[in-house]
Amino acid sequence: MRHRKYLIWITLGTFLLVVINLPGSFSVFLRGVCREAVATYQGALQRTLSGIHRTSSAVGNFADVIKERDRLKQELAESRSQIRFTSSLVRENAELRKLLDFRESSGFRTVPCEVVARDDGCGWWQTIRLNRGRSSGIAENMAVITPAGLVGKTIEVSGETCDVLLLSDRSFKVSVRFEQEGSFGILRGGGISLQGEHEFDVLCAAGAPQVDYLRNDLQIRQGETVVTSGLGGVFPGGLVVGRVRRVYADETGLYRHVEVDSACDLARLDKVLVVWGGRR
Amino acid sequence: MTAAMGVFLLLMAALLQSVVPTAAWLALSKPPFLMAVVLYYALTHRRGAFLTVAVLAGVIQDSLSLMTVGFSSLCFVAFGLAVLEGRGVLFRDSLLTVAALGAVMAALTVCGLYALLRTSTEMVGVPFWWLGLKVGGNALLGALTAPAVWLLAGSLERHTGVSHLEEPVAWS
Repeated sequence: MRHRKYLIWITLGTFLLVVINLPGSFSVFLRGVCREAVATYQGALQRTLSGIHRTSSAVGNFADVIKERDRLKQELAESRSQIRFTSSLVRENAELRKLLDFRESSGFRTVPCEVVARDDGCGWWQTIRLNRGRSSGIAENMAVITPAGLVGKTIEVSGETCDVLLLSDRSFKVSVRFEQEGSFGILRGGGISLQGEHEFDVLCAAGAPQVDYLRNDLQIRQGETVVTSGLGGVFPGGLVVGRVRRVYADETGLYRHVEVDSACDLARLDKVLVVWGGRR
Repeated sequence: MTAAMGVFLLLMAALLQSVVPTAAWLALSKPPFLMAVVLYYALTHRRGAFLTVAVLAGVIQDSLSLMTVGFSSLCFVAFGLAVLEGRGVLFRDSLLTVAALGAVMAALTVCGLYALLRTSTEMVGVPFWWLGLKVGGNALLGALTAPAVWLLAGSLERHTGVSHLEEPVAWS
């Protein structure tokens, strides 16, 4: 038993002497193999230790982390709010520029107004209320427009407000001209349509305005621009009303009817111009 | 105090009626808050107070719209008086009664206004289906609005100590 112990020590010593005295090239090779074999596990171990360290630090600073998170949340909310506000300002600015450009280029004398209310209190008519009235020179039966086209006409005016009957109302009528074809007609509002998309908004479901009783031989095409004729004294001529959506024959075959797509998005009116006194 | 309460209720009703959005499938019917106030007065107040409120409510409603001033007053007074005369035999203790009266009165008011509009030629004729929708829509909204106004107005009057013909019923 004792001899065996000596034998182990002698073998070990010999092995160490051999290893220590290995040739240089073999020593380098052996070191490389060992280093690379260990390196893989070293990396994994290091990552694990770092993770543990970070976790323990985070647990240690949990209160600070929560505070930081709350602060960042608040900052994010403020930034989002600022972005929204800026976006609305940019949009309003663009709308106002458009309106101003149109005012200057159209040649009409106009009063810029803001829409303060939609529809009448009973729902019999399709109207909007504007924030300008008699004190700004507005009177009954004045055309109301946007850069896109005709909106309607003023019907009731008080000192500081006026009501506008919209193009989409059934009782609205305007003398129009088909721009390319040149023929005239009376356009009336289409009222409320129950087809299509409906929202809780009066004006979203407006039916298409129509021009009725047109002669069969007129060459009116889909997409043709419809403008005010200037006849009748209320609307100046040349205001864009919309484009022809559909031309169809009367049931009797004696006349034709034309449906018009309004040039204005009547559901989203925000700022409009009241035309007074014709062109400059 | 009673007059001030009446004015306050009418103003609140007018404000609500003008701002509450409407829908195409209800033929643009508005919740008839003003009519509901008239109904409340017809059921709970003396004839003089009811008539004053009915006329004022009508004038306010017509001023908010393009209606000839007085049309709504006429309807409110006519249908409100019928309720006032018959309130002795009505089960006023029931919210259901108030809802039913609200629906009927709202529907009749629309029919009355339509008839008046047609005779005054201020309005291009609307399709029959649209009128039907409007009557139905108003009846529905009237049935919802009348009990709500009844409860709120009654509660308000009780809390402010306004006295009238009979106390509004305490609902259980």
